[in-house]
Amino acid sequence: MQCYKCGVELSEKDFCTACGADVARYKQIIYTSNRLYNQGLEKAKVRDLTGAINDLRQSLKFNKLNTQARNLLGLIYYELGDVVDALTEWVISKNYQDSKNLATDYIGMMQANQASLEVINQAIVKYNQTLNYCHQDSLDMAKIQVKKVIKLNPKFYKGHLLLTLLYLHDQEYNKALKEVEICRKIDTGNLIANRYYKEISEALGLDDNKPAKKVQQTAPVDDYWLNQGPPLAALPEPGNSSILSTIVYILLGLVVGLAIGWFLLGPIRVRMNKAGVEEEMTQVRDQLSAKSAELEELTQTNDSLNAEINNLNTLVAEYEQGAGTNEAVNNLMYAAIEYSKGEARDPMVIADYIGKIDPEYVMNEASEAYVSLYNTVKGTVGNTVATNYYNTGMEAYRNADYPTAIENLNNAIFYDPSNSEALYALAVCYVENGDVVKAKECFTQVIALFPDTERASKAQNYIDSLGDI
Amino acid sequence: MIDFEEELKKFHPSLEVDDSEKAISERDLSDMVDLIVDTAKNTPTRQ
Repeated sequence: MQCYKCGVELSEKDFCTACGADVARYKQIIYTSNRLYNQGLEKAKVRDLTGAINDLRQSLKFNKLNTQARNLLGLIYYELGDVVDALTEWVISKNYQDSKNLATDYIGMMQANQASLEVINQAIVKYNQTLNYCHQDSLDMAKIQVKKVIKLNPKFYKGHLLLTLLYLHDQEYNKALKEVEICRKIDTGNLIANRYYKEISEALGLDDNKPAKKVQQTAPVDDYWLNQGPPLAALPEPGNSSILSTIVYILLGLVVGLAIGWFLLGPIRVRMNKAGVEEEMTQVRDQLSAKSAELEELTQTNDSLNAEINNLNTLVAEYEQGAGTNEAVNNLMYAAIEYSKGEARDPMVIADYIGKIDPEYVMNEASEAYVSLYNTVKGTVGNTVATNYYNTGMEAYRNADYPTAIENLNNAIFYDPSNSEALYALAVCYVENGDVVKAKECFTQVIALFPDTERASKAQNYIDSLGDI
Repeated sequence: MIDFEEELKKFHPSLEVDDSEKAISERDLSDMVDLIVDTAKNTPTRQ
């Protein structure tokens, strides 16, 4: 025993030799706690568990650190099926004394067997439900439930006791006796169980000296009709049948089974086949629909592609036209560039570029700015170029090189339409070259442009001489 | 004679495993030794 104040081991004195604390009462308390523990232990050995519980609780009231008392109390609770109470005591015991404590082993065993713990917990839950049924006056349900409790945990003391009470209420003394004897076997000191036993004994006439006599008990409803009603007619026992009849019966059963199968399953099979065919048809229809949709899509694509081709062709045409336009613009630009050289410009170069421009374009399609520039450039170099072309053409005429003469005289007229000599010479070249139609055209132009002139008269003579060629 | 209702009052619900933690925490663990210790605090020690 250690001093409660300083923890030093106490002597036989009533005071602590270390700190001087008065330990007389303290020692008495510890001794009382130990005595109560011993009493509890003795009672537990003879299965007076209720008495043991009371003593051990008292022991702990005196000294909560009495580990042995607490462990034994937990053990008794466990024996009675109150597992939670048992665990509580062991946990507290371990908390106060962590080493060399049996509670550690008890807790370990509980934790190792979780399944068993779960079953015990279910029994507790059902027991609590049973109490609820009892309070709700559903005693039949309570009886059923408490039987389940006992089945889950045969050592659940309170379950047996409650069932005893329920049987007593229904005056089922024999059953009550059975249950109360189980209770008394577990715990001999339970006053409630002993009182129930006394009640049952009186009802059943149980005496140590006298033999027990059966009580004319009022049987419950289910037992009454079994005792009072007509006996149930016994079912005829099957006679010794021969092997042949057995085989016949088996064959008959097979035939009947097949017939049932045919008539019941046959239509089902037909339906299934039909369903299979229909399913296949549905698949084919779906495929056909898909193909049709694909075809339509391709047709639309084709149409759009054709339209695109047409657009592209239009663009190409426009581009080509534009190219033609671009060429005319470029030639004019080159001519303008040459023109911009001022005194250094070469009129023939300009004339060359101007000659590449289509007059139809200038007359019909060119913009106003283009025509203006064109006329300016052409007009500036026109006289010089016209003279050059005229001289070259006449030279070629004199040399009887009519094609060259025609080309140059055409250019001369192009740049200088007022040159009657060039026009007349051109007409004569056409005659000499054998192009009478062109010759007549030119002679006609001479007459029209230069009337009442000598050349006009000569032109008229030529036209007359050529006749209707 | 057994009075069912009176007897029934003596039966109390059992604690389930889930309630064990609460039961431990709410347990009153004071004992006589605690009383002695409290009393001794006010008592001078004998030298």
